[in-house]
Amino acid sequence: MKQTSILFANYNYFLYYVDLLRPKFLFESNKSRYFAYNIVDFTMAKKQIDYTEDSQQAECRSIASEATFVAYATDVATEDARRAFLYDFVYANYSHGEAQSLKERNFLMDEPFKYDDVETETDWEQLECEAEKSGVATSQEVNKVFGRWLNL
Amino acid sequence: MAQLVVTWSVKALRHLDEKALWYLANRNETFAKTFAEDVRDCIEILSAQPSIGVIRKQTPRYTYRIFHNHPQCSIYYWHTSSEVHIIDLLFTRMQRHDLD
Repeated sequence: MKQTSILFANYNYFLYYVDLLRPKFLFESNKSRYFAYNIVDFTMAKKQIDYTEDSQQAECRSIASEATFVAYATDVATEDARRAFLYDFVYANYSHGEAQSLKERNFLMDEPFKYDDVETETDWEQLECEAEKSGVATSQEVNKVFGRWLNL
Repeated sequence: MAQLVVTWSVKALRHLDEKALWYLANRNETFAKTFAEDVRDCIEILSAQPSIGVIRKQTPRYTYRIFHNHPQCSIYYWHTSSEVHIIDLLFTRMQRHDLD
């Protein structure tokens, strides 16, 4: 009897700790933020359903939407959701001109990662020259950039 | 140990910003944030001990060094006895021995 109560007590402690962890998982993870975006997409899509479709079409649609929802639930962010997220981020954190130019580049989505191939002495000199020409950043500019990325 | 004054070239700062955005767009928020944190921590270390980088060249005024922050990312800077100036961040392809 005593042993059983100890087990129950441990199990309750376990549930308590799980409950403590849950809000953190739900609201603080990056995944959940994408998930929230996807839910918005999903509900918006639902509102746009044309109710004149026949039963077969409706069945196909429901299967498709279920599959989409499973994808959302397993946290596979769609391209549109990612773009929406980046749109918000860029327009909130960059100047209008910078945001426009980034929008033209599709917010760097699926753009190949650029490497700097500095091999010869001329390359090094060119790199130093370009850096010197660009000038020295002010402490406000440095804080702004780091603040943008460290407070994500 | 006293920390030196750190200055950034505009080009280096733009480069950092662009790569962080690339990570955000093509990976996720954690990637971008970790990248920025790594660079910040590295710069803090360099400002306390700038001589840990590999010397690339020396002039009478400055010592140019490279510090490998990550197999793919290095910080190129010069320093004097009172200042560390970040010239640029260099992103290089991973070599086979880095992956092993």
